[in-house]
Amino acid sequence: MSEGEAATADPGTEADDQNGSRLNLNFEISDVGPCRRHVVVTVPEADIAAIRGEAIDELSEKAEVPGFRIGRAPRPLLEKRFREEIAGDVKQKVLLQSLEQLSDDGNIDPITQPEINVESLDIPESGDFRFEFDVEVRPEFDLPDYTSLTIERPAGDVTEEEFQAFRNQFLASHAERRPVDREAQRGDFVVCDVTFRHNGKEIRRAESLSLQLQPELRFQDSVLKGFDELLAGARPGESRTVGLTVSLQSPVVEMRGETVEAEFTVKDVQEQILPTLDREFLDRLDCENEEEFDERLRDALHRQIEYQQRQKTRQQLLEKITESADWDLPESLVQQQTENALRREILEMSQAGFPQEHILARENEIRQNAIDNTRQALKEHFILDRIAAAEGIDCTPNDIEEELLMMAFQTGESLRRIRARMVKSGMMDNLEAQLRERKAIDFLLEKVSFKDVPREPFVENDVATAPIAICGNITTTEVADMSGEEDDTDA
Amino acid sequence: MAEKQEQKCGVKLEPHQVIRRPLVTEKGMHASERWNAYSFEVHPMATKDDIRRAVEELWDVRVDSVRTQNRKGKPRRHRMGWGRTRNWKKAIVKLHEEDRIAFF
Repeated sequence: MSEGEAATADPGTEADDQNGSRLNLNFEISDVGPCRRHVVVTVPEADIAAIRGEAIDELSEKAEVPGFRIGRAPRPLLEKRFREEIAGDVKQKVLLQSLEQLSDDGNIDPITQPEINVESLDIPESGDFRFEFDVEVRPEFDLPDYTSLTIERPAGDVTEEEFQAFRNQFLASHAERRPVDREAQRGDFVVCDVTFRHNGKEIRRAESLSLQLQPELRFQDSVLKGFDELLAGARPGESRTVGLTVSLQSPVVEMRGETVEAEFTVKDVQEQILPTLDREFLDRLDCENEEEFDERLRDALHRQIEYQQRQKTRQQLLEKITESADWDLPESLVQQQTENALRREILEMSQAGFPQEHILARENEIRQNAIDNTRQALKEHFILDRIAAAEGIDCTPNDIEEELLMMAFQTGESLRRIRARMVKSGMMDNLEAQLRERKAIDFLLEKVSFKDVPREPFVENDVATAPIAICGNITTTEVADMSGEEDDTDA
Repeated sequence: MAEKQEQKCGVKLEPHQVIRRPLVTEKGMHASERWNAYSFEVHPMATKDDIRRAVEELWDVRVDSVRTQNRKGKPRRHRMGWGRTRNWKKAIVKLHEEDRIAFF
């Protein structure tokens, strides 16, 4: 349908005299923009009269008129006495029924509420009733070929080196720290005060930070490479200074890319004591012996690798099915979702203590990121929705029940409370849509063919993190393990 | 004799003063459908002739007969004690079979 061209849909079926449920409507639908339709609806006088008659019948059963028992007042009296109520009732019924029929017969798939000014509409006493409105619809597009995709799948057996690295990392997470009276070396922990200076002026100071000597140290808005070499050989009381560059994604716009001097003053050196696999340690982990401990670690490593594999394949799949999606999206939906994302981010920044000027300075950047992410997410949503509809994939009440059970288990709340909260906040529809899309992705992953490629080997973590930002007030976000797909890597 | 009686009465009521309001009730609707008789509340001093003339003038119809009743007010209780609703006069006017009155 070209832009501006009017298309007249055939009228609906004849009014059903027995149940009066269908109207003899006439639609005129025309394009007025990307994913936007202008609809003109004409309701014939006979249908309005029928609806008016039904409204009066309903009213007569319960109207109280002085001088008459309930249900005994004559119709002409009711029409005269309750003229406005009847008119309002008729208007509401006509609009509702015609909109329902429109989505059934009119071959349009609205995704937003039609923009109708109900107050300004008046049903005439005689003659046809005509009204018009604009509505946003789902984008029309050809489904990409999703049956003959090839996805690269990272594969490969777990090697002994990987297992040892994973084992060491696990043991390190249970390690104790013991102060030592020697020079710091790689792997040790140093407790130090860190002072950041920009152009000679101190901008931030952090006290008693516990940092592990690793090749890389990450702040929230900067990265320091060679941290282990910087503090290697340092003793308590010594200071070492290094230059850092503030990240271009820093929330403080004026500091992006600036060089900052960081002075590390060592207060204490602690060595890491890995736990021994004695009875007490094994009992704590509920293991019979070392073999069982190793076996559980291997399982955990396998699960972690499988999870990463799944994530990568999903990501590739979504990229492949959306790469040819150059069709238009409904703009109001994009705007609405973008505004939601923007509001969320600004709220988080405000709660983190950012001053208003910083937030405003970043607003445009956040908005642009939000727009790009929203467009991508919406394209994925529409394509997966079409695929689900084409393949008959749907979300069953059982699926919803299982998902709610999992959420209840993870958060420790009762199932009834979670369900009530979801229903009250209107999130049930979102949950259904999410589950449907997840099932569609699973379906697609069964159909695609995989090309195994070598995966990135698991290596022991060589990055230390500092929970502070050089500039700004970013708070550390605690991420709860909410996802059902994330596996517990602890044995 | 009639003229002397009229002069003695003094108050002359206009048609719109005679007929105060129609009685739109179930009984009234039934009477109007079955016997072509319409009920009104009328001025307490209106006579049957006054009522006849008023109805014929106001609705341009022919009146066959008029019956009237004087209705006593009903006792009602309120904070200060007992009171009574007002007394009023009802008239039931039967029209010629070819004439009708439409209240709504």
